[in-house]
Amino acid sequence: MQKWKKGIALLLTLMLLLTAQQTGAFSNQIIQRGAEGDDVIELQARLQYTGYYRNQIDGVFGWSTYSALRNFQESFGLPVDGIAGASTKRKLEQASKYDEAHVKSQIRKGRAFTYYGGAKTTAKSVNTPAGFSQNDIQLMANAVYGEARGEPYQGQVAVAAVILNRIASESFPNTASGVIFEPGAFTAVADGQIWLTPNEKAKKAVLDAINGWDPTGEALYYFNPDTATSGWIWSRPQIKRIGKHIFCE
Amino acid sequence: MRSFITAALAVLLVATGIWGYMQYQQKKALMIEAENGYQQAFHELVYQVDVIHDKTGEALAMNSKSNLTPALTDVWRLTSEAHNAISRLPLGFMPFSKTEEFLGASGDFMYKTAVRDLDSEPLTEKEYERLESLYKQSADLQKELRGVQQTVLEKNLQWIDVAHATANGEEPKDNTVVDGFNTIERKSSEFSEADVFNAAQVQKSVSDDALKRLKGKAISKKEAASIAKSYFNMDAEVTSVEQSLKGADVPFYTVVVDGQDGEEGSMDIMKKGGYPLTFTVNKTPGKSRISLYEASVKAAAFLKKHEFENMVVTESAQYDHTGVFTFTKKIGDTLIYPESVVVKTALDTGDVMGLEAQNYWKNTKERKVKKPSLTEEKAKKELHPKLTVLETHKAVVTNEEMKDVLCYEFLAENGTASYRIFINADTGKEERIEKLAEAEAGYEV
Repeated sequence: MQKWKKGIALLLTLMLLLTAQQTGAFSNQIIQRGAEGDDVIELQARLQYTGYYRNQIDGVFGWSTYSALRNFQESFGLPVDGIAGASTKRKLEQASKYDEAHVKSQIRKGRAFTYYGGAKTTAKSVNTPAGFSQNDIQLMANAVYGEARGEPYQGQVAVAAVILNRIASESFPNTASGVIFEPGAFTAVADGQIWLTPNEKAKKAVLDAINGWDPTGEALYYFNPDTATSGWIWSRPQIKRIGKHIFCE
Repeated sequence: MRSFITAALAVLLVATGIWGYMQYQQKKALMIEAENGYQQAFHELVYQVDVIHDKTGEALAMNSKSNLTPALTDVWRLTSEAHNAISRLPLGFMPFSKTEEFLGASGDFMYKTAVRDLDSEPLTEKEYERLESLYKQSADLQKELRGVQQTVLEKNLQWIDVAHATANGEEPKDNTVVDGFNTIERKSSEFSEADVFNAAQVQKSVSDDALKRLKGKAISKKEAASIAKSYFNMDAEVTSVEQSLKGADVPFYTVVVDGQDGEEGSMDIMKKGGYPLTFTVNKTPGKSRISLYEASVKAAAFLKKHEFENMVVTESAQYDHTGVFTFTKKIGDTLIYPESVVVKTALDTGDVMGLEAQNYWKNTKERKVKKPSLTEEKAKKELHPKLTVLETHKAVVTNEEMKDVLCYEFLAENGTASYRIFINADTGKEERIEKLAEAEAGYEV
């Protein structure tokens, strides 16, 4: 019984490997804007080989890849939609060569391609929401972790949302760093807890908030009713309570 | 007598100890305060250079003078703010004059160009070239600064240590910051003859008040709980349903659920009419098994099931193993951007893990899209001649005066960057220009 199972598993893996080699390295997925990963690296490399893509091969399907793909589709008589579906991928495979091992080793070294017409590669790129850099996100994650690490996930998204609501508000600075370091604004900044290393949960909460989630109903302030020392904060209209924090307008 | 002296000395010792400890506490508090000031100045500097870069890029694609003047004025203001931020950093131990010179000269150029009447005296070819080189140089500056910023954040570097070293005339211990700034300085000196913009990072359109006009019957806590359960794609147990506090513009319920695998989920539902405002589930997806495209198809089906009609994907992005999509309402061939929702999907199972619909509910209404008075060709003429158009749509957007206007949306590129440009379909005015950001490179530390 055991042997029989193993045999089937081996056969399946072999079949998978074989089919993968037959169709080139592209997997079966339809690749669209915003995607990351090996298929995107191959897409960019092939578009570059055919002369349509001139930017860095970084494995993230951004705007420049999108316009390169549209131009490719237009000149090869394909429907122009900027999405790499089955027919587009087939055309690309016919029109270009792709040496996966070579491309990936160049990317790891961060070197320029000679094989593909001298375009540069970067070791890694990451998607970030428009208007925010990786460092903005890191700084906000530091603040959220310092302020609300004991809170439920919603409570952490909420703290990040308050920072963003302040950025949008005219009564506060209009950058993340400006809001976070405003003297007296956050206790975690005043006592240095902001410099603790944040965990993944805090980072995810920040990303959600930047992508638009606001569980606070547009709050600009929050406080812990058990430890709040200022009487003024109690006079703000209260919207909602999440965990230990009350969020107000 | 001896014992009296001993006692007195002991009291004195304790008193000195307490005094010393208080001094130490005070000093620590002051140091943190000073450190925070330095950190603020530094992060602001990086942000301002980011915006200077983006705004110069946008200015390059602008054709209408009424937009160009404010854009250039903005850069001028930002160069002076960046200058100011540099002056607040403890950089006494190294020359930083070239960078400051670069910022100053760029500011001058922007100012002179901005105050000129660009209608009678438009940008010359040479000035355009200068703007272009400014755009490139700010990119260099931005890259170096981001590198230093990453080091500072990753290694928890304290500016106060740099300041102390400066005061004692020594070289600071960790040289990454110093090296970074030296590189920036060297690059700035390579910029020939000075070749260098307000942006809030977030746009929130309308206030919560807009939710008041939604109609419907008030729902009970029980009904709220069952609505919430229909949105969570898991076997969830409702742990609490709470009503919002008095200060909320519109009363809503918050339903908290626990999944069987330890997921925390929470959803806000309006009391009147039971409209779904926002929900998220905190779950870490496993390795991706489905593509972003497949996930967007599943997200579209989810919206349809929950009666969001005629929604199409206008934006998609992958963050590790999570897909985030913006869906926008489409009436006929016109996209209604104010009526957009954001959906989050796990790329392992394809389950929807979040919906943010507050903006949608604030802006949704019966709309009649009228025929534009300009043709597409006419509107295209308003674009900068150096731009190549990739894609054209009709779209309704909210403009600066907070009015919804019908526009032609052009997706265009000029060889170095892609832009999204909205041209008013009746007046031909450039309503909005966005430079579309590319994925951010990782920096070697």
